[in-house]
Amino acid sequence: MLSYILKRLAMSVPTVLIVAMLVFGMIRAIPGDPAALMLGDVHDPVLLQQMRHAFGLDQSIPEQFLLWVTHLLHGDWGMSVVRHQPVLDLIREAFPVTAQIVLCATFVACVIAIPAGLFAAWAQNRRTDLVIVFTTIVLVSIPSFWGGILLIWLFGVKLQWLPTFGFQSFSQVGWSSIRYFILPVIAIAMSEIAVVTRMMRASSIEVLRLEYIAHARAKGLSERRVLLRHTLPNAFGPALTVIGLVLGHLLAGGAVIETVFTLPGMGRLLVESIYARDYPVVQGCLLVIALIYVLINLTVDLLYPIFDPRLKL
Amino acid sequence: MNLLSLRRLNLLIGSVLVGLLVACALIGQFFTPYKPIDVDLFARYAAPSAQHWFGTDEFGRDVFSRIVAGAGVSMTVSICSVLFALLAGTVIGTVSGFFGGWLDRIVMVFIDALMAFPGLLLALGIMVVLGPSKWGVVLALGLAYTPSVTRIARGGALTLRQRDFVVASQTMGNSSMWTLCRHVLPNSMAPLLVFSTSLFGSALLAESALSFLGLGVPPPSPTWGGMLADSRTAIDHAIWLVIFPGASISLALLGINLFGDGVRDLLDPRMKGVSV
Amino acid sequence: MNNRLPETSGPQRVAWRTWHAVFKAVAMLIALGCLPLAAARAESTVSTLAPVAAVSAAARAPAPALPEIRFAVGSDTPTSMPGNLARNSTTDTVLAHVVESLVALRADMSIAPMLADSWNISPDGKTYTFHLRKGVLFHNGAPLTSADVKWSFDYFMSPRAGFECRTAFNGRSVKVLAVGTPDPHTVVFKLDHPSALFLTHMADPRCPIAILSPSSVDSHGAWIKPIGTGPYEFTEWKPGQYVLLTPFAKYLPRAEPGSGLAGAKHAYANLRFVTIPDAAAQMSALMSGQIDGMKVDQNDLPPADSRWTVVTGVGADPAVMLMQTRDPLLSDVRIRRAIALAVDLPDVVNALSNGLAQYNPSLMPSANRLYSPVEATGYTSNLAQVRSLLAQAGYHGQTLTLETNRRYEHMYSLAVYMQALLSKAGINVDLQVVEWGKQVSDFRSGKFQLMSFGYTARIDPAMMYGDVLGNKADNPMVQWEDPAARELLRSISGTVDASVRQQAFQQLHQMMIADAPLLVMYDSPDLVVLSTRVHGFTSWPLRLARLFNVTKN
Repeated sequence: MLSYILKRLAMSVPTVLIVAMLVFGMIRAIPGDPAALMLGDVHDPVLLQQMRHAFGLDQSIPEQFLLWVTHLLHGDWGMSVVRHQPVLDLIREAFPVTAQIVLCATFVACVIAIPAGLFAAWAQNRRTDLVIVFTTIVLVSIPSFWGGILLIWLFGVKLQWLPTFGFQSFSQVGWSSIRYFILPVIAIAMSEIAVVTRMMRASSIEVLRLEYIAHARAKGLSERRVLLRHTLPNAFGPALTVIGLVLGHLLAGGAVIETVFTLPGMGRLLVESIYARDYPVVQGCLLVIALIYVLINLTVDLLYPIFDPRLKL
Repeated sequence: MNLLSLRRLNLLIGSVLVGLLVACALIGQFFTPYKPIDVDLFARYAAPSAQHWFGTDEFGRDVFSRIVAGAGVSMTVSICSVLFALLAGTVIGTVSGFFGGWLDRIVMVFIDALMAFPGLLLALGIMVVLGPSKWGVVLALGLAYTPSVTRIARGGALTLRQRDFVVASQTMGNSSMWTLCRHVLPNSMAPLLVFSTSLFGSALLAESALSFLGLGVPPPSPTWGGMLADSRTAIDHAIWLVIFPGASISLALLGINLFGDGVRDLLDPRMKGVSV
Repeated sequence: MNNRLPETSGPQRVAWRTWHAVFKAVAMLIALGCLPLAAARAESTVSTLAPVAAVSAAARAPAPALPEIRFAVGSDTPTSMPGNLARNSTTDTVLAHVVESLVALRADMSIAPMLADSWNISPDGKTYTFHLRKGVLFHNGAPLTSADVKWSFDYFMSPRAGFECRTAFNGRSVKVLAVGTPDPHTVVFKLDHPSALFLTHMADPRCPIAILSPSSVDSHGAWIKPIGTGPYEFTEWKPGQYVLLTPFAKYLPRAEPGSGLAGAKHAYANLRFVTIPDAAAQMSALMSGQIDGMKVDQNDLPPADSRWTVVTGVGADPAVMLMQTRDPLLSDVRIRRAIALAVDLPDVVNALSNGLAQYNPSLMPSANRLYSPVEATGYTSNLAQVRSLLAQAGYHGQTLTLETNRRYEHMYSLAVYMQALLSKAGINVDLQVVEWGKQVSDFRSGKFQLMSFGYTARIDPAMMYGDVLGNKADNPMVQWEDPAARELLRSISGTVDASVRQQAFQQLHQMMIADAPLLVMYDSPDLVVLSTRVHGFTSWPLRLARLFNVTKN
C-alpha cells in the first residue's frame, strides 16, 4: 500500500513539472510585465529598470525557472511582486477559504444527493423518481454564477438577511461565520447535488439489476438491509469518482463563485495575480492546484477498492 | 400519468427548447428588432416595455436583440469546441491506447498535465497571446476538454485491442492503421458520442463562465455570460439585466439536457430510464 | 429486471426514514445558521457587521468614544512608506492623512504653506529658503526641526529607500545639490538650475517629500512605519484587510481654511480604510451599512436613497482618445481632424458622464488656477467638413481599430460610443477589447491605432505636456511630436512666473487643437458615495479621499 502511494506520487512528478514549465513560460509570454503595469503611463526608464531588476525579470526565462525551482526546494515560494508579502502567506490565507466553502458544499450535496440517488433508483420509473430526475436536470441547467447573483439579490439586497460580500472564517468569529457560508454553499451545492444524484442513481440502477440483489431479497433480507448493506457500497464507486472530479475542479477553479460572492479565496487570488502579472503568486497557486489534483486522484483511486472488492490496487 | 408519455414529454420539451435555441442562433445573425450593438444615449436602463421587450442596458442597447444574437455566438463556440475536443481526443486516445508501450506513457503524462492545467489560465493565455476572439475561446475550451475525451477513447482502444476480431485483423497482415480505422474506431464511438452530448452542455456553461470573467468572446459582440457579468452592478435598479441572460442560459442547458437524455433513451432501450 | 415490489409497509418505511434523516440534517444546518443571524439582525443599525479586527471581543465591546469612519478602498496598500516603488493610490490616500511636506497643494493645484510657514526664492531661482512652522510635533512627541527635514530628504534620496520619484530630484526634473540647516527652523535647498516644478514635486501626493521622524526606521535603516506630523497616526495595518488611523491629539491645524491637502486639517473620528476589491461588493457593503463611503464609477451610481448621498466634483484625470500619429493612415492630419470633427463630443461627454462632467478639450484640468477660456475651446462637430477632409485625404473606408479594456468602465464606455458614432459619420472603426495588462503594454510601445485611455492626473500642466510631447523614436509613450511645441515647453521650464506660464500653456493648447494628435474628452469626475451619517466631506480634483474635517454621527 505504501509503496503504491509512493510510486503514484513519484509518477506525478513529471506531470507537475511539465505544468509548472508551461505556466512559467505562458505567463511571461503574455504581453505586459509587472513593472510596466505598475508604472502605467509614467515614463521613467531608470525606474523601470530598477523595478525589473528587483523582480528578477532581467534574466532569461530558463534562468528564472531554475532560480524558482531551487528556491522552492529550500521551501522559499518567493514574494508577491504586487503585494510584497510572501507567496506562501497569501496562499495560506486564501486556500482555506476556498477549501472550507467547497468542502462544506460537497458535504451538504452528498448528504442530500446520495440518499436521493439511491432512493430514485429504488423507486425507478415511479412518480418520485421522475420528480427527482426532473429536479436534477433543472438544477444542472442553472449556472451557479446566475444562481449566486439571484441569491445575493434576494437575501442580501432585498431581504437584507445575509451579508453580500467578504468572508470570516470559523476560527475568527465562530459560529456566526456561517452567515458568510450559506449563500456560496447553496450556489455551489445546487449543481453538485444534481450531478452526484444522477450518477448515484445510474450506478444504483445497475447494481439493483444484479443477480445477487435478487438473491438477497429472496433470502428474506429486509429492504433496508438490501439497500444499505448491499446496494449503496457497490453503487457508490462511480459516484465517488464524480465527487472527486467535481471537488478537484472546484478547489482549483472556484474563481467564478469567488468573484460573485467576493470571497478572498484561491481562485480570485489566481485571477487577480494573472491580471496584475504577479508571476510568483501565479506560479505558487498553480503548484498548489496541480498538487491538489494529484492528491485527489490518488485518494479516489485508494478508496475505490473499498467499494468494489473486485478491483485490486 | 403514463410513464412513457412523461418521458416523451421531456423529449418534447427538450426538442422545443433546442429548436428555439437553433432558431435564435440562425435568425439572430440577420434579423433582430434592433441591432445588438446600436447605442441609444436617451434610452439607457429602460425597463421592459412594448418598444424593448426585455428592456435596455447601460448603453441603451436592446436586451432582447442581444440575447437572440448571443445565442448564435454561444452555439458556435460550444459546437466547435466540442468538435475540436472530439477530434483531437479521439485521435490521440485511440492511437495511444492501441499501440500502448512508451508512446502511451508519454502521451498520458502530457494529457494529465493538460488536465491539471487550470482552464482559466489556459483561456487567458490563449486570449492574450492570440488576441481576444471567438476562435481563441474555442481553442481554449477544446484543449480543456481534450483530456477527458482522450481518456475515454484510450479506454475503449485498450479494451478493444484484445478482442478477437481486432487481433485477427492484425494477424491477417493488415496494417495497424487499417485495423484502427476499420475495426477499433467505429466500435469505440458510442460512448464518445454520448459523452460529447453532455460535453456540449458543459461547453455552453463554460463559455458563459469565461465571458463572465471577461475572458470570453470579446465585446461588443453580445454573449450571455458577458451580459450577466455586466448586470452585477445594476442588480438593485435593473434586475431585468440579470434575469434574461441567466434564464436564457438555463433554458438552453435545460433543453440540451432533456433532448440529450430523451435521444439516449430512444436509441438504447437497455439504458431506458438511466439518465447519466 | 422487475423492480416493482409489493407495496408493503417495509420499503415505504425505509424510504420515509431515509428522507426523515436527510431533512433533519438539513433543518439542523439551517437552524444553526439562523441563530447567529437573528442575533445579528437585532444589532443592525450599529455597523458591527463589518469585517472587524482579529479579536472578536472588539465587536462586542461597548461603542468607542470616537466614531469610526469606514471608507472602502479597491486594493490594499502594499507599503506604508510614502512614495515607495510599491505604492498605489490607496497608499497615497492613507498616507495623506499621516504625513506632511514643507508645502501642500490646494484644490486649484497651487502651492500653499504647510510645515514651512513661508519661503524665499533667490533671484537666480537656485536657492530656496524655507522658514519652518513652530510648535509642530511628530506622532512620537518629538518636535520638528530642520535636522528632521534634512534627514527625511536624504533618506528618500538614498537608493535603498526605494523612493519612486528619486530621479525627479536627482536630475530628471530638478537637481538638488545640497540641503543646509543654518538653524533649527530654517532649511535651505540649493538647486543646480532654476525650476518651475521644485515645490510641485515636493507636494506631489504620489511621492511627497514627507517630513518624517528618524524613528520611522530602525537602527539598521530598515523601514518600520511612518511617524509624521499629520493629523492622524498610523495605528494599525492588517495587510489585505484594513488600515486604521487614529487622531493625533497634539496636532496643530493651520489657520487657513482647508483646501485640497492644504490649510486646516481637523481629525474628528477614527478612520478605517477597508479593502474591498470588488466594486459591486463595495456597493453592497455601503447599502447594508458596513462601510460609510466609497469611490464610485460614473456607470455605477446607486439610486437615490435617504441612507446615502453622492458627492461629486470636477476631476483632473483626462479621459482621452489617442491617435497613433505614426500609423500610415493616421499620420495624415486631415484624417485626424476629420475624426475630431465627426462626433458631437460635448454630447458624448454629457451622456457618458450622466451630466457630471463637462467637455474639456485641454490637457490642463479645468480646476487648475491657470485654466482660461482658451483651454475650453475645442472642436465643434461639422459633418460637411469631415466629408471634405476625408475626401482630400483619400480615405476610402479603411477600418481603424479602437483599443480599450473592461477594467476601467469609463474607458470602455467612451470606446463604445466613439465606435458607434464614428461609424455613423462614415469612419469605419472596429472595437478591440483587450485585457488591461496588454493595453498598458501596447500604450507603452505605441502599438495601436486608436486607443481609449485615461491618464492619471499630473499636478502641473507642464508635467502633463512633458509626458505627451516628445520624440516617438526615443520614447514610444509620447503622443505629440511637434518640435515647436517641445521648444515652447522647454522655454518655460525655469520660470515660476504664473502669467508667463499661462500664456505658454494657452499657446500649446491651440497648437494641439490644430494638430489633433489626441482627443482630450473630459476630466473624470470625482464621485464619492457617502452615508448620510457622515458630514463635511468635500471633493477635490486630485480625487484622493480626504477624511479630515469630516464628522460622523
